[in-house]
Amino acid sequence: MLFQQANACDDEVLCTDTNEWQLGIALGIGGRSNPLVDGDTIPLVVLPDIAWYGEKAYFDNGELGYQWHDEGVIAFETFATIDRERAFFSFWHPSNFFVPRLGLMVDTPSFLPEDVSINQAPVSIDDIASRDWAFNAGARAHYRQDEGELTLSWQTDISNTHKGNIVTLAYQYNFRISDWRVNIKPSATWKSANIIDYYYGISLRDGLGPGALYSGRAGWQPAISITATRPISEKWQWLLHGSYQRLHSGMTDSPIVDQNKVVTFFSGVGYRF
Amino acid sequence: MMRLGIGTLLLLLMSPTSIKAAPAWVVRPNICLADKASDICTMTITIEAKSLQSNQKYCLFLGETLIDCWIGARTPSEVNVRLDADKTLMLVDNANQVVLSETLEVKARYKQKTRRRIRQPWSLF
Repeated sequence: MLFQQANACDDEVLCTDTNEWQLGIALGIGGRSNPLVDGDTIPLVVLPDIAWYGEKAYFDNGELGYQWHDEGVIAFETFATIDRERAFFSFWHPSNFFVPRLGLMVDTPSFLPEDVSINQAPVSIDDIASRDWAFNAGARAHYRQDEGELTLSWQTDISNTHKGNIVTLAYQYNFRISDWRVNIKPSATWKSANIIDYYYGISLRDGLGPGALYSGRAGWQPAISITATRPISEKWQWLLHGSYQRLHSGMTDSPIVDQNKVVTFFSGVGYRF
Repeated sequence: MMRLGIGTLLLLLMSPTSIKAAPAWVVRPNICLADKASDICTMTITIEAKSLQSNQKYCLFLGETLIDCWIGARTPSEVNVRLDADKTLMLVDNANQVVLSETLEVKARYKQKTRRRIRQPWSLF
C-alpha cells in the first residue's frame, strides 16, 4: 500500500520526513530535445533533487507551496513556481556565450522541416527578441487510489510576463518490477494562447518584418513519462527516465518551432544525502 | 519415618552442588531513547549474569557484531552499545550455542512525522 494517510506515510521513495531537507544529486547522461529552430538539446548530466516539507508548507524542486488539505485520498495545495517554457530559449544556447547577431537576419532554410505544416520560412531563435522568464502561481488537487494518483492543476502567470494559463491533467501509477520501482505518468497540458503567443509568436518586437508575423494559439499537449529507480545501496540508486511530449499545432506552426515533440531521456545514478 | 527424613536431608544437602541452576542475566537498560527514530542511539548497559560456568568460554554479541569474549562466570559489567535499530544482545558459549539473549530496543523520543511528496523525486526533468 503506497498511499496511506499523510501522517502514516511510510513509503521510502514517495514520503519524506517533515522539517528536514531532502537532498540528492544524480549523475548520468541524457538530454531534452529542443523543438526550436537552432535550439540545442538541453543536456542532462547533473540533476539535483532538493525538497523540504514542513507540516503544510513545502519546497520541492523549484516549487514553493502550501498544502491546505491532505487526508490521504484527497489533497489540495496552492503553489508558486518558475515557468519552464523559457528554458528552450536559453539553455546552453550559443547566443548566451557569443555576441548575438543583429536583427533582420533570417537564416535561409535549406529544407523545410517535415513536422511544420506552414508556409512561413523557419526563423532561428538567434534572430528574435529575447523572451523573459515567468513566475506562475496556481492550485493542484490530488485524488489517490491504491498505487494510482490523478492530479489536476492550474497555474497562471503572476509576473505579468505573458499573462497566460496552464492546466494539466495527469495520472500516475507506481508499480514494481523485481527491484525496480517504476512510475508511469500520462498527462495532458493545456496552454493558453497568451503563453504560446508570448514565447512562440513572432511580433514586431522581433524586428523581422510583417511577413514573419505569427500568433500562437492555445492547445493541448499530451505527454507520457516513465521513471524507474533501483536501489544500489542505502544512499545510491539507479535512475532511468524517459518522456515524450507532443506539441500542438498552435505552437508548432510557429516559424521558430521545427519539431512537434519534446523527448527527454536520462540514465544515471542518484545519491541521496 | 526416619528413612524419609534422612532422604530428604540428603536431597537438601546435595542440591546446591549437584543440580545446576540455569544461567540468567539482567541487562539494564534494554531500551535506548533517541531523539528521532532515524538517529543512531548510544547507551551504556550493565550486565549482571548468574550461574555461568567458571570454566566455559563465553562471547557477547550485539546482533552479528562481536563485543567481547572471556572465560569464566564474570561478564563485562558495563558495555557501550550503538544502535541504529532494535538488536539482540546474545551470550554465546564455546559450542556456539546462544545461552542468553536480550532485545535492546530503540525508541524515538519525538515521533518523526512524514509527508507524501507532492512532486516525484528528481522531477526537474
